[in-house]
Amino acid sequence: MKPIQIKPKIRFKYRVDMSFLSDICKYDSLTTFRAKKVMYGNQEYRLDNIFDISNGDKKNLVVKSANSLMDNLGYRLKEISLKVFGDVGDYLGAQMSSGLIEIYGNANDHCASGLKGGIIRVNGNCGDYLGSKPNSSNEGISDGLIYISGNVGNKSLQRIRRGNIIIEGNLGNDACSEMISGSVLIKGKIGHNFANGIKRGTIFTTQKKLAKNYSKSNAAEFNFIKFFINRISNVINRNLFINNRKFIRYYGNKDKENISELFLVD
Amino acid sequence: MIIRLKSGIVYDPTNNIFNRTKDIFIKDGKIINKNNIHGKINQTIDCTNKIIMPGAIDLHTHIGGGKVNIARLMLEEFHDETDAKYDSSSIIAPTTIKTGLKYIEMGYTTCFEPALLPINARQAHAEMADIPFIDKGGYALLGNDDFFLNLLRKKASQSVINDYVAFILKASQSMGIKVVNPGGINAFKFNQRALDVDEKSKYYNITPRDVVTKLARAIYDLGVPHPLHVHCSNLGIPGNFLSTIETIKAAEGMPIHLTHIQFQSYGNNGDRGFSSAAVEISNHLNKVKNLTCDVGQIMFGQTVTMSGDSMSQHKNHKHAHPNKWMCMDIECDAGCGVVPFKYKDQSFVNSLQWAIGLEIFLLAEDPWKVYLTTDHPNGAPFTSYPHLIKLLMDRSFRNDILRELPKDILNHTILHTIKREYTMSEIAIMTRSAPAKILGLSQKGNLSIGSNADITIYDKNIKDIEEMFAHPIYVLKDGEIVVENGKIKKYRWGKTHTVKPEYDKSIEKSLTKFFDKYHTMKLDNYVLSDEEMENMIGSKVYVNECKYKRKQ
Amino acid sequence: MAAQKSYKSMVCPFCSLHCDDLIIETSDNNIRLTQGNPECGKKISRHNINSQSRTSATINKKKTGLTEALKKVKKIIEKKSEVLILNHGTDLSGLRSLLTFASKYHCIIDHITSKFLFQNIGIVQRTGYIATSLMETKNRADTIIIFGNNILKKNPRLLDRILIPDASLCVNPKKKNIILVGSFDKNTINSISRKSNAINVRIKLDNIPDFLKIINNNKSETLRFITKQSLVKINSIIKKSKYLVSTWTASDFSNTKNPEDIISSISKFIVDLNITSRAACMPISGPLADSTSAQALTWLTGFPSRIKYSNNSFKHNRTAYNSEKLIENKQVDTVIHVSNLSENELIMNKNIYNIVLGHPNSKLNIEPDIFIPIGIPGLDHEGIMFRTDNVVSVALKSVRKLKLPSTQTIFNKLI
Ligand code: SF4
Ligand SMILES: [Zn+2]
Repeated sequence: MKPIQIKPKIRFKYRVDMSFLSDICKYDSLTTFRAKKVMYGNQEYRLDNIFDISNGDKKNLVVKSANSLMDNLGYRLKEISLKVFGDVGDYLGAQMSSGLIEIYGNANDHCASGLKGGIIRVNGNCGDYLGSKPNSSNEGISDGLIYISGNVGNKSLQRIRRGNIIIEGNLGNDACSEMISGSVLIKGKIGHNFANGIKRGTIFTTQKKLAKNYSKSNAAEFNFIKFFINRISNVINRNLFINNRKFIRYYGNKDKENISELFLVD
Repeated sequence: MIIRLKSGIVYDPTNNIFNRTKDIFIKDGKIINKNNIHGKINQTIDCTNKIIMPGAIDLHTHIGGGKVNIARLMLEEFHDETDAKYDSSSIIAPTTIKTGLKYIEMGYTTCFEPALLPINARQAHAEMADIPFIDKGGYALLGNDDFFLNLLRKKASQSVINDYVAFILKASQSMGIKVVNPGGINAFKFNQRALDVDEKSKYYNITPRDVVTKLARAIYDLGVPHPLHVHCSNLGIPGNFLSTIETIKAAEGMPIHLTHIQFQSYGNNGDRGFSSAAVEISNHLNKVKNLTCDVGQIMFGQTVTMSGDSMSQHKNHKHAHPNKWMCMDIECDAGCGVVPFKYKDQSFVNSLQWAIGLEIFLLAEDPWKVYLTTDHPNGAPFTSYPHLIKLLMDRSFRNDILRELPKDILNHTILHTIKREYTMSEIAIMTRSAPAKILGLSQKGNLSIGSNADITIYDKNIKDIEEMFAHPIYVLKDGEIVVENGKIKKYRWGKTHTVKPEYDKSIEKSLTKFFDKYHTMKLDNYVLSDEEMENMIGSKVYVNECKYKRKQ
Repeated sequence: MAAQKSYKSMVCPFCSLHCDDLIIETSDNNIRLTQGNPECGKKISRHNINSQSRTSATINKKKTGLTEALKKVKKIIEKKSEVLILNHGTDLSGLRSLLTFASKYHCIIDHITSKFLFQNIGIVQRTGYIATSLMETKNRADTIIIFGNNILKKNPRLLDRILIPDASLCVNPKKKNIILVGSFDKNTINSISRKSNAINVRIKLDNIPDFLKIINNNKSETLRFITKQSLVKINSIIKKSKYLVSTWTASDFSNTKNPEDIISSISKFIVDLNITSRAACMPISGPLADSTSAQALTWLTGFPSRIKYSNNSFKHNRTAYNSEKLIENKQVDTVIHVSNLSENELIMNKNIYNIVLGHPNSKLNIEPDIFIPIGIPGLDHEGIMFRTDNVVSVALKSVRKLKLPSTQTIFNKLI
C-alpha cells in the first residue's frame, strides 16, 4: 500500500502540535481520523480542514511542506515510519519507542528528547538540546539510533543512558555531560565543555584535543568496531564516516569516575 | 421544586432500612416527609429496580494541600491522558477539577482531607474550594508541632492542651485532629530515624504514647465528634503491629480512629521477615470499644505515596518508582514526603500487603467500625473503590486474583481460608452511615427526614457489581441532580465542614508571644476567618455541632 | 487641609517572603513604611501614585472609561486567532479568573519568570529533593550556605528575619555559621560577619558544582577555588552541623551557563548530607508571585506554567508556550499583559496587538493598544499569595482606597 500523505492546506502562522499523527493507528478508519478535532491558534478545526490527508498505509506516513512551527512530530511514535519534507519545530520524535523518522530539512530544539528506541535520521541541522531529558526524568536517551547529517546545537545529549548517535557536522557546547553510556560519533568540531562528568560510553571523534583527558591504550583489537560500524551503516543506510579510517583508542581516568572510552579517528 | 424518587430499593442503615422499596421526596436540598408535601411534584425519577443509598463519604483521602500539589508537579509524565474526557491529569495526582468529577461520578458526595497542616490550611482549603460538587473538610495535623511538644515537655495541664487543640481547629477550619507518627516527624528534624511508642524523643524528651494520650483526651473533653485520627508510629515496618496495639492502649479508653491500618498490621515472621498480623489487629478491633479504623487497601499498579510522615517517607525513597521523591520539613508544624511507588503483583511484599488489607476488612465483625479507603493515592487512587467493593462482595473474584500472586504469601496470610462475602447492606454501612456517624455528620449518610439530599442511585440491572458501583445513574447533591444517566449534568460547589469547640481565649496570649518570637507570621494572619473562607478562599463554612459544651 | 495620617498594619506583597508585620503610614493614599528595613520602604513607596501614573484606561492612547475599554477588549479577543496571557504577577483570585477566561478563549498562559521556575522544579521532577521552610530555617538551622550574589538584596529581610534572627527555638542564633558561596559584595559580607560566624568563598557561580564536589571529596589534591585551611574549616562546620540549610534564588544564576546544573548540584549535596545528618534546601522564589502562579496552576491544570487550553483541557509545552519566543517571533497575534505587582517595564512587540492590565506606574516600551490600570493586591484589594517555601500563604489586606479594579474583577467581566 502507498504511504499516507499529509500536507498542510493553509500557511501556518502559529505553532501547531502535531502529536496527533502518532495516534493514527488508534483510529479504525481514516474518515474518523480526518474528522478528529485539533487546535490551531485558538480554534478547533477538523483535521481535514487544515491538512490534506490521502489514503494509504497507516504505518507509513509522509508529511509534505512541513515547517518549523510544527512541534511534536512523531511524539511517542511506535511502529510507524514517518518521512518529513521540510523543516520541523521542537520535539521531533520525542519519547519515540520504535519505528523510523526520516526528515529532509532542519529540526529545531529538543529533537529526539527522551528517545527510547527506533531510528531518527535528520538530513539537515538540529537545534539545541538534541536528545534532551524529558521534563520529568533525569535521563536523556535511553535507546535508539540518531543520525544527523548537519550540525547540532548546544547542550545536547545530556545524561544519555544508551543508544547510538552519529553526527556528521559540528556539535555545540556542553554536549554529552554526565553521559551514562551509549556511543556518540562526531565527524566535525566539538564545542567546549564536552563530556563533562561522563561515566561510561564510547566517543568517536576527529578532534585531537579531546584525547588529552584520557590515557592511551595499546590494545589493538578492533574487530568489534568493524562489526559495530557495519551494523550502524546498515541501519542508517549509508557509509559511516569512520569506515576504513584508523583509530587510536583511549580510556578514561578511573579516579574521576570516568570509565568511558574514546576513539580518535585520524 | 419537589423531586420524587419513586419505588427505589432503599438502603438507609442509620434508620435500619435495608433493601426496602419505598419513595423518597426532596425539597430545597433536604429529604422531606411525604405527608408534608403541599404543591405539586415537579420531577419524578422512576427508581424501579434501582438501588438508592445516601451519598458515599470518604473519610480519608488526600485531595488538597501542599503535598498533593507536589505530587501533581512531580508526576508530570503521567498527566498524559490525551483522550481524557475532562483533563489530562493523572488519576494518581488529579487536578482539583478532576477530583470532584471522578468522585461525583462514583456517587461520593463528601470527602475529608486527613492531613491538613494548620500552617498550610489556607492552601489546602483553597485547593479544596476548587474541587467541584462535593462537600469537604480536613483534619488538622498536631502532635509534631514544636508548640505542642513544648507544652508536653513542660507538663502543661490537660485543659491548656484542650484550649490549644480547640484553637487549632478554629484557626485551621478543621473537622478533627490527626496525629501522624506522633512526635516522630519532629524527632526526624533532630535526626532521629525511628521513634517507637515508648521511645523518648531526644530533644523534647516525650514519647509517642504521651502525644496520643493527651490528644485523644483533648478531643474527648472538647466534645469533637470525630475521634483522634491516628497514623501510628513505625508505618510500614515489619513487626509494627505491636506498636499499633500499644497506640490503641495509649488512648486509655478514649475514642480513637486508626487510619490506613493495613500499613500498620505487619508481622515479621517467615524467611523474609514479613508477614500478616491482621488476625492480631482484628482481635483488638473487634474487642476494643471506641476503636474504629479505615483500611488503606493497596491495589497493584503505579501510584504515589504522600504523607506527613517525613521520617518514614525519607526511608522509603529508596523504593521510589520512578526514581524521584521529595521530603520537606514544614514551619515547626509538621513535615511531608512524596514518593512515587508501583505496587507489583509479582512482589512478595506488595502481594501480602494486598492480602492483609482484605483480611482486615473480612475479619472485622462490625462494619460500623471499619471504613473503605485506599488512603488515596497511597494505596491506590480512589477510583479503585468499585473494584475493592467487588473484592469484598465476591469471594471467587477475590480468589482468582489471589491465585495469580506469588504462592509463598499463602504461608503468611489466611485470606484464602476466609469465606465471608460482604452484603450490599454492609457496603452501605461502611461507605455511608458509619463514616457519617464517626464524623458526627448527622445530616449525612442517612435518608432521614430533614437530612441533606445527597443521594446516589445505582442500576440494579447492571450485574457486575464493580460496574454498578463505578457508574451510578443518578447522583443528587443537596437535592440537585448533578449526575444524570451517568453523565455530569450540572456543576455546583460544596461547602467546608468544620467544628468549633469552645475554649478559653487566654491560650491566644501565649500563642501570640510564641508567634511573635519564633514564627514567620502573625497569629491573626494564621487564623482563617469564616469571611476569608467564603470571600477569598472560596468555600462556605458549615459548622458541625460538638457533642457537648466544654466543662468550665 | 492637611491630609489625614493613619497607621495600619500591612502584609507585604513585594517579595516572596511576604512579611506580615509591617506598620505603614498612609495619607492621601500615599504609603510610607514607618519603621524597618529602608530597602523595603523603597520597594513599597514605588507603588504610590504620582503625576505620571496612569490611573485611567486608554485605547490607542486616548483616555476612556473602564466599561468602554472592556467592551473593546472583548471585541478584540473574539476576533483574534492566538492570544497569549502573560502574567507578570497577580494573586490567587486573579489567577483563578484568568484561567477561566483562558479556557473560554483557548489562550496560552505564561509567567514572565517561568524560566527560573523551570530551573528550580527540575529537582522536584527529576531527582530526590529535601526542602525546608522559613520558620524551620529560623529556628533550627545552625549552618546556612547562601549561594549566589544578589539574593540578600532581592529579599531585604531574609537575613534579619530568617537566617540570623533575634530568637530561635532550638539553636543559639548568635552562633550560626554562615557560608557564602559565590560573588557577594563587601557590604553584604561585612554585615553578615558582624552577626555570625561567617566564611566567604568567592567563586564564579559557574563553579558551584565543582566546588561542592571538592567539599564532598574532602581531598586536598583536587583543591581549586579555596585554600586548604578553608576546606578544613568548612568541612568541620558541615560535619558538626545538626541542621544545615542551603539557600539560593534562581535569578542569581541567570548569567551562568547551566543554572539547572548548579541547582541540582546543591540539591544533591543536601540529599547526600541526609544520609547521616539533617540538612535541607530553601530556594527563594522571585517577587512576581511566581510561587502563587505555579501553585494555583498546578492544582487547577496539573502544570505550573506555559499551558494552553486545547481540546477540553490545559496542555503543557515548555518551548511552544514560551512567551519570550512567541512575542519575539510573532507567533501570537495578541498579548494580554497582567501586571499587578511591579512597575517593571513591559516589553511589547509593536506588530502584535497589546492589551495591558497594568500597574498604574508600569513602564512601557511602546504604547499598548489598550491599557487598563489595575489595583495591587495588598494595597488596593485583598488577596492570597504564596510565600517562597510554597507551604505558607498569606492573606493580603487592602490599605488604600484608589478604587482600582482587581485582576479578578476585570476577567470576571470578560468571561
Ligand atoms: S523583605 Fe520582602 S516581603 Fe518583607 S517587607 Fe521587605 S520587600 Fe516586603
Ligand atoms: Zn493518609
